Amino acid sequence: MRLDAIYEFVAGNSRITPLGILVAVLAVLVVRHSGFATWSPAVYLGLLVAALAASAFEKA
Amino acid sequence: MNNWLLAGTTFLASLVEAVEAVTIVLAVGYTQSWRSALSGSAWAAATLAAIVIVFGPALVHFVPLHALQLVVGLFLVLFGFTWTRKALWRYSGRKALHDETAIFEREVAHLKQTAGDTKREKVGFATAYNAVLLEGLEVAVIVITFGAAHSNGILWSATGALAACAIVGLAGFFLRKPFSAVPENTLKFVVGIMLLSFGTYWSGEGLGIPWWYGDVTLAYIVGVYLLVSFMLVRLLRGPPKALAQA
Repeated sequence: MRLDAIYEFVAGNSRITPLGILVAVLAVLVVRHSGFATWSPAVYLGLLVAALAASAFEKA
Repeated sequence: MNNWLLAGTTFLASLVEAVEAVTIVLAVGYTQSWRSALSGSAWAAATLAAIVIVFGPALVHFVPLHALQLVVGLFLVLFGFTWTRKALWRYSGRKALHDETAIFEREVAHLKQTAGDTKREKVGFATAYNAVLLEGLEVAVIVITFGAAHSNGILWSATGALAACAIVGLAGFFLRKPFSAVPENTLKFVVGIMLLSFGTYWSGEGLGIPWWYGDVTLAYIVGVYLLVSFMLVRLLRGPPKALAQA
């Protein structure tokens, strides 16, 4: 199975989606080990929501 | 409560995919033969069951829980993004709605070009097998990931999936025409939101995030994604066009 077919199956050919998820995960890892650990749920959810919004405006 | 949500999500996801698969199977049945359509579908269903039975328990057995929650959760987020995004595009008019009747007619026209009885059986079998396998693969992945991240998840999600397939299969058998009246985009939107929400919650647990209200946080996450989705549809549609002067 070609890699691009797998990518289409999983990520729907979006570039922003995997990038947005990666940013959210990295941000949480940083926040959890800082003094703002209690904000990590809001940071994670907020960044995923932002990624969804950004990917919605991606080229169809 | 979570078990019913798992079963409900896979039920709806299976409903959507089963409707799409049945459209192709009906086209094969009408143009090639019902024997090749049904045998292709049965073999594909058996393949999907084998995938779930082999990979489902293996994931739970060999992978530590936190790592599993993180990987499975992120996978579901990716899947949920794809389903939700496409549904939002269809609601806003950026992408055409799925037309089962048009797909059925296109498939019938394509299959009618096949000549010869022997080739017809093989083409019919292969078409039905591929359609059911491809449409069912997404559901199999959802069943496996739900099962991996939640105790008894595979039982509940598999039950939801089987129930939907049985309902759609029986309806297809008795009606023998494509399901144009099914609100596919709404179903895909609901499934997308649920996959996103479960994925966000489980991947968060895998990352060690202290969700505020335990399992009940899932309801808040669903609410946030729903609210944002409604806003995005409005934004994607753009401002209403000014009325033409009389």
